[in-house]
Amino acid sequence: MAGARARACGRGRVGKLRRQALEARLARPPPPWPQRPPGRPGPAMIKAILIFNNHGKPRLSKFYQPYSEDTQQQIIRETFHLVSKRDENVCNFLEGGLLIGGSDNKLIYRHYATLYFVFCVDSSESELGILDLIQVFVETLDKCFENVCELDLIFHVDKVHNILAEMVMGGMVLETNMNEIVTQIDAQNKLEKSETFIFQSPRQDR
Amino acid sequence: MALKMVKGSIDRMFDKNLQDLVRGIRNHKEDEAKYISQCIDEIKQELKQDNIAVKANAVCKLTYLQMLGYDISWAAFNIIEVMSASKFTFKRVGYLAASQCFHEGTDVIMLTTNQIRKDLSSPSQYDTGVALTGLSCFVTPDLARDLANDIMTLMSHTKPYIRKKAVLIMYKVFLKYPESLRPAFPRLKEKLEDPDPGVQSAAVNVICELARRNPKNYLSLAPLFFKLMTSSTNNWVLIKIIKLFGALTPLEPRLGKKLIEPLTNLIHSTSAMSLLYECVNTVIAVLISLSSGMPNHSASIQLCVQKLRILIEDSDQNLKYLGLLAMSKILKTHPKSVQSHKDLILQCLDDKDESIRLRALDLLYGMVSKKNLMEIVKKLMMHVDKAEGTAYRDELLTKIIDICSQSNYQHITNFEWYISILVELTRLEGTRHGHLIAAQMLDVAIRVKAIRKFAVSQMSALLDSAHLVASSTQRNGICEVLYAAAWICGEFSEYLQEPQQTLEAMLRPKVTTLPGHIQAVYVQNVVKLYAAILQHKEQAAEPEAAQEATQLMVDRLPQFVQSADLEVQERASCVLQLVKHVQKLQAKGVPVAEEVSALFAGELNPVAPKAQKKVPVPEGLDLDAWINEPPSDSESEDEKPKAIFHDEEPRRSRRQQPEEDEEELARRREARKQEQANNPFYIKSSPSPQKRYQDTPGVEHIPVVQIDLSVPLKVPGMPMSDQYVKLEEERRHRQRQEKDKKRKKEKKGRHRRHSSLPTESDEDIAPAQRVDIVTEEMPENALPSDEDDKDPNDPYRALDIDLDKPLADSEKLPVQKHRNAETSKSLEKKDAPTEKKSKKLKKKEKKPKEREGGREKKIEREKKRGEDLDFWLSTTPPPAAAPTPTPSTEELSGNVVTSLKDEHEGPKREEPEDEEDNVGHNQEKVRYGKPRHKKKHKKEEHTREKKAKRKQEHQVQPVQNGAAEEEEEPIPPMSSYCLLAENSYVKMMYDIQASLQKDSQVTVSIILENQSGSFLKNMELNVLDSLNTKMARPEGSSVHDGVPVPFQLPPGISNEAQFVFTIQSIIMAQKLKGTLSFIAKDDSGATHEKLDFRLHFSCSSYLITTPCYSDAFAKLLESGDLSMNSIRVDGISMSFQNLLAKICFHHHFSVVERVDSCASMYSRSIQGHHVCLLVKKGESSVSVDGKCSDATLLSSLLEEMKATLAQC
Repeated sequence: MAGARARACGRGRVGKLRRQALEARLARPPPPWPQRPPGRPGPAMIKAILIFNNHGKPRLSKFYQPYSEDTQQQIIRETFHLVSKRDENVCNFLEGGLLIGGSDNKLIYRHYATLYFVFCVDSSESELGILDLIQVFVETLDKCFENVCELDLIFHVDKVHNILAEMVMGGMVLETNMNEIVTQIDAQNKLEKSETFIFQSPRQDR
Repeated sequence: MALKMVKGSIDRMFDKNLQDLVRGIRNHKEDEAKYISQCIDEIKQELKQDNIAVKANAVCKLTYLQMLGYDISWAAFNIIEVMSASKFTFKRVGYLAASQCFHEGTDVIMLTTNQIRKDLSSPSQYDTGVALTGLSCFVTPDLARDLANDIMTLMSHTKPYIRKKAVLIMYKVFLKYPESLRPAFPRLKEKLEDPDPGVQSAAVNVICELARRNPKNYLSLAPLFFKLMTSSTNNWVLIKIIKLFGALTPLEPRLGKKLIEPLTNLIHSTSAMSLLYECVNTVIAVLISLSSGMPNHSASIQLCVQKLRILIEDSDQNLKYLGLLAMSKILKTHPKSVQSHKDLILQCLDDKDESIRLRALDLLYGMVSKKNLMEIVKKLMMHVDKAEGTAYRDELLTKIIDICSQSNYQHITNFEWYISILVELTRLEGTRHGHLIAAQMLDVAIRVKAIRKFAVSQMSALLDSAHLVASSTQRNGICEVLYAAAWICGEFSEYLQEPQQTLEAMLRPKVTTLPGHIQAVYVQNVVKLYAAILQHKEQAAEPEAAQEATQLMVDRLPQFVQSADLEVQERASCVLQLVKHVQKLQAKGVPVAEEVSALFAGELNPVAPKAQKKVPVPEGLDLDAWINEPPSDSESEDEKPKAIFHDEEPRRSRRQQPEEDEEELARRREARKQEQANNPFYIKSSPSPQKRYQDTPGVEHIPVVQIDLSVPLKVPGMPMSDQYVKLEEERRHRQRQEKDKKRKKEKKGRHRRHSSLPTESDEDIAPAQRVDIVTEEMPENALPSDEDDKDPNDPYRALDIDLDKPLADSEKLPVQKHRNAETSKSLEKKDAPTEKKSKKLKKKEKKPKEREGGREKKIEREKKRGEDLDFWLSTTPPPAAAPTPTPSTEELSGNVVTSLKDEHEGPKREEPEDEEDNVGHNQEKVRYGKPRHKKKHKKEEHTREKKAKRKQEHQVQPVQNGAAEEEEEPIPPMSSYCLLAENSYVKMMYDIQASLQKDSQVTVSIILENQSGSFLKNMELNVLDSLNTKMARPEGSSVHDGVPVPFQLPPGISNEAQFVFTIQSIIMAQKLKGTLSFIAKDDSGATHEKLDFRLHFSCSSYLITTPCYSDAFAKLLESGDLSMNSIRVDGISMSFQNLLAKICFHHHFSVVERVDSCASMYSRSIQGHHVCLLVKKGESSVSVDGKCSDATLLSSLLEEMKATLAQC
């Protein structure tokens, strides 16, 4: 059991990752990152996924519940306010986001270099699972953008959305196997490339 | 036309794309809004063009602006245009924009229905995928209704990529269109067993989420999920299912009983924190649902608490947080187990992380007892002093009050201490919770009669030093306590030592700076105080003193008459006139005290907050009907009594108390009396134990609280609670001493501190005051409970649908085309065991020489049985007394022989065995969390009892395989576990299991039995890896590190640990040297011990029992790519039947066909080698001819078989 189970779902200590000297880069796969079994499901109900930088500038917002644009901005601001005042070495869970969802919900976040990745989820979900999911998300971004940094997210928010859409669908986790996600993204990019001759490489604006 | 297109693309070249827009915004930091509005204008222009590429580019930019907070709903129609583009690139842009800004209120959304349907049926899987993704974000009831059938068809799409998306989106469809749930459910259930793990987990995800909301409808799926849980290797599926079981157990305690053992085993064995954590959570849920009736559930609780302690002690703050969170769940039902970890939790209070501190505070609530309350509160008070930030300090304050006041102050032994704590809290700067403290003071003073004297003295001191409290800021929340102080001093003025002094304090000019509602209470209570003074002075025959008091009133009241607050002004005027009248009477020498006191006669009893609500409405009374014609603006007061009681401080809703102003109360009291007299429906409360305390001044049954003079009662501003702690300790000490002596019966509790209180245990510390906590009044025939009304707006309520009823014709999904035949399949419920069994039986049917008779009946019977959840649940074996396996064969054999005879009687025998097999199968799998494919091996079980039963199946199984019709002699018991090593401390037995899914992995189960009287811990297993065979170690550890055994062994206990080994080549047997190191601890100390062993990987252990049909077997032999070998063993005395059984059991073969004394057998290795045997028995010899795809493997196998047969 030290074997199979641990490897299947070891919650990798990716927390340490964020403290490493990764000023420009967001993430690199941690050396012994466990290979996940394909298609593990995660939490069923993710209310919102937010990415903002250290100054609270939104880099991606995905709400799985309808909110007006104003409310969305308020939620982002409030979340940033809550998350940014926390120390680096405290836990990654946060209760008390008032705007989004109330008592049943939790904010689960990770801080990578200049960016905060925040998932607002149902209280019934596996907290450690979500932390892993964020890590998978960041690693996938890293793979798709080759050493992702904040600029990639700034200029290619549409691509980030497309990647996210392969992982989370309608607030439910669709796929957590990074290889599977990357395969699908690559296939879609290829399809896109074949359709248009003025194809814009994602690296063009770096 | 061509020109137009060229023009379009030229235009496009000059348009900004998303990157340009972003760059532009970054370059216009100063006038961002202006720049963006310019861009929006440009976008509007672009949207007007015909070129779809331009439009898509514009929509893409809009999506970005939406993120920045700009409303883009005006472009909804353009977004739909882009969605309908033929190119995937544009379509994706369109769907993304739609998913970001469409919602149910978007009116154009109905235009999308046909487009989406078209995309769903598109030949390109990515078109379909992108449509599904988009739809998942903006599905409306209409879309759900119109598209439900299309999506359902996609659930059977050939591509797993589409299937998993379709399955997942069904959840959203169900939510929006609940009618679709029943027709779609069978297919959804089917997907639980989809070959693609992604689809399977999506289905688990959806069903778990559905079941979490309406668990009772999914109880019948429990066996299926149980099976999934036992067969899944995917921790994420496991977590989901385990969470689901947590939701199901409250509905079905028997399920909990079934779960508890596999779960505790998982807790023991898993090293994945997320899984461990969820298991602990579900075990907690199970234990809560069982609460009692489980003989050994305290062990499970201990295990959970122990594991949680490990989490809390972890340096990872996340684990610490989760540990505390789960701990608080245990706390609710098993506070005792948590209390023993008080040290740890108090330690967490000092954590730098506020989330963790708050969690720890939550836990404290349940940790207090009479013994430690003072100590804990003292610690919290220290934290209050240290805390930075008012938010956390306020949290601490509310927690202190919560902790102390919980369950009717049951932990408070000394209310003097509590009052002084409250007084100390009033010194907090800038707290918002003054009203909370005030409410507590009032509550305690009213409900604990014995404390009133002390409370009054404290409150008068507080009033005296009111300037300190109220000085800082006018609106300081803390001045609320003066409200309570004034009321208590007024209401219980007979306890005041120096009423005049208090009266003066309350009439100081400074008081007029207090908030209005507090002044109003002051005025009212000044009169009460005054009445008490009059009474006192008249009784003492000091008319001058009485007149002095009157004069003081007349002098000071005018300051209130001038108050800007209407309430204060009005009351003050009334009171002033009254006092002036009294003054006149006094001048004439008329005694007035009686009459003035009569104003405030009557005891105030606390009323329960819901008392009014609970009065049942008498039959025939329609509260909604108008009695008279409706007046213009009336409101029904009766429905909301709270509104009246709390108009001043709506937040003070903790407990309803008569702390309202007196006049109002008096008025209401009168009104109520009137009403009572007239109202035939009024439910009269039982006579109050205390009536009119004025009439009975020294009521016998109120214990008199003697104030210990060592307590400096009158020094305000000095923290006193500490002294109480000391005093309390002394008191308890004395109590204990006295109890040790021969106790004399005394009137208990009359004199605190000096009385001996008989009949209390050390656990149960007698309170210092005879606490006479007045319970809140309730109407006699109050309704027992107020149901938690479900929120009618709850979207999940609509999904509360019975899924077991057969599907009616009217329930079909609206279809445009022809309905898929599959969907009309009847919704007959099948449970896991049923399906499994019937499959199994079908297989058997194909086997030659199977019994024909009665099979049909049997299938029927079993099916019926499987359908019944009750049955599934009732087959739970009795919970094990100690979940530890003890594989001692001698003990088993006795049982086996006797029970075997029963089992062998007639054709009945297969039945119980099948059942048992299923159960055992499931449990075993859960326990190890991995599927094991060799049934026989699954049966090495946790309890002796079960073991005995199972053991006999080991033998029966092969018999069956052999399909013998004749009666056989009983087969001696067999165990696949063999001795690995043994010394005086520990005995190791091992078995190797392979699994079809992992072609280069085997699991070695080692049963460790503690044979000594020492406690074995820190066990670590290490082997010397060979090139071919390696032990799987946790990440990050080197090849020389051992793998820790995840449990400890108390004396005499055994438990099983599993280790995974990876193997490259399986064609040769292997031996690995290894060592088990451990610490043996007994009374004399701990020693470090070692036990060496040699782990033998036989080739047979790589084989997996695989059934094979004779035709397939024949083909295999004919194919000719198998190499051949044979052996012959002489001197065999065993019957052929038993011989075959032995081969089946030890070498994992299955019998294909048997004719007389000749049988063909088949097995398969984990790496896919076929092995075929022909076993022939002569007089006293056996010859085995083997064919195998690998010659080396075959010869190794035959060697092993030879060794086995030689023993026969």
